[in-house]
Amino acid sequence: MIRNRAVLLAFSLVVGGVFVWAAVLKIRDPLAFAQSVANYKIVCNLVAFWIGLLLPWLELAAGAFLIVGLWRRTSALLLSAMLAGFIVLVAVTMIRGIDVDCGCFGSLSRKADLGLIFQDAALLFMSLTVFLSKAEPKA
Amino acid sequence: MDIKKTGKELAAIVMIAFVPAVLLNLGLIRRQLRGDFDESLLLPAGTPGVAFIGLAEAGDLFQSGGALFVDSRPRDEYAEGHVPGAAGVPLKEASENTALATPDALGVVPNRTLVVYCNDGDCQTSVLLTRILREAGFTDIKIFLGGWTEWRAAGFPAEVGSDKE
Repeated sequence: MIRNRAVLLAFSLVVGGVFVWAAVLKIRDPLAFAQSVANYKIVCNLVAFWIGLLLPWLELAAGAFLIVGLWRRTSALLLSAMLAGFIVLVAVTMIRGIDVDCGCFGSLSRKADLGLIFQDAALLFMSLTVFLSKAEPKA
Repeated sequence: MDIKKTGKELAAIVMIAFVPAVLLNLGLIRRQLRGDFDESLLLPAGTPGVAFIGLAEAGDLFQSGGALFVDSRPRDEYAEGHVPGAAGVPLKEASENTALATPDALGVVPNRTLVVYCNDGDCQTSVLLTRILREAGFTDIKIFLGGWTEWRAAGFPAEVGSDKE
């Protein structure tokens, strides 16, 4: 278990920063993100529409709370749940042989591939470390 | 871990996120309730100048020469076979450089009818490219969702090789 406060603070800033950045890119064009969600062919257009509208704001809120250190462990838990969900989604998409852009960073998105799973796994490790830590990182 | 406290904090974060999400997107939500996004999220029903067409209409437009076909697939797939005379405008390239999708770049006037296609109905690149073409000034775009797969299955003519450029 990592208890070093500087490391925990760095993890919080990295994970929170990535989510805030990703959220802002998606909030600018909710329909494009909704289409990215629909491209995974798991949910219908109606569900994709609402995910496209709501998920980026949830990412923004949780990421911002993690950065400022308010409700830090709860924000880390929420972001960990999202990251775990993204990993499962990308894995299932790869197994189904569907070739899509992940949609994670708006128009700057990359392919939903193994590299993305590793990237999300690294972020998941950081957010889970923050969630499981008892120490409050020094701001 | 205090589950009750965590639950309250989670609910607060969700509320803080969802309230602005809904308030700032009331217009989109109204359109969703009207059914505008049932067919396509990027090109809602009634988008001016855009229509979805089937194989028969695509074939008629090809025979009459009434439209410029635009192939939205990657260049290697275009080179393997495409609708004769179609312009190759790969979505990925047009996304990075929208100048590739302007009337000037395609050598036609903005009100020229375009028929955009990709591989088949599951392929969304036609829809995404149409969005770029509309923003570039084209006013009459038809999306042939059956795409290259349906075109070939129907025995319609094909051409191989790279685009003119």
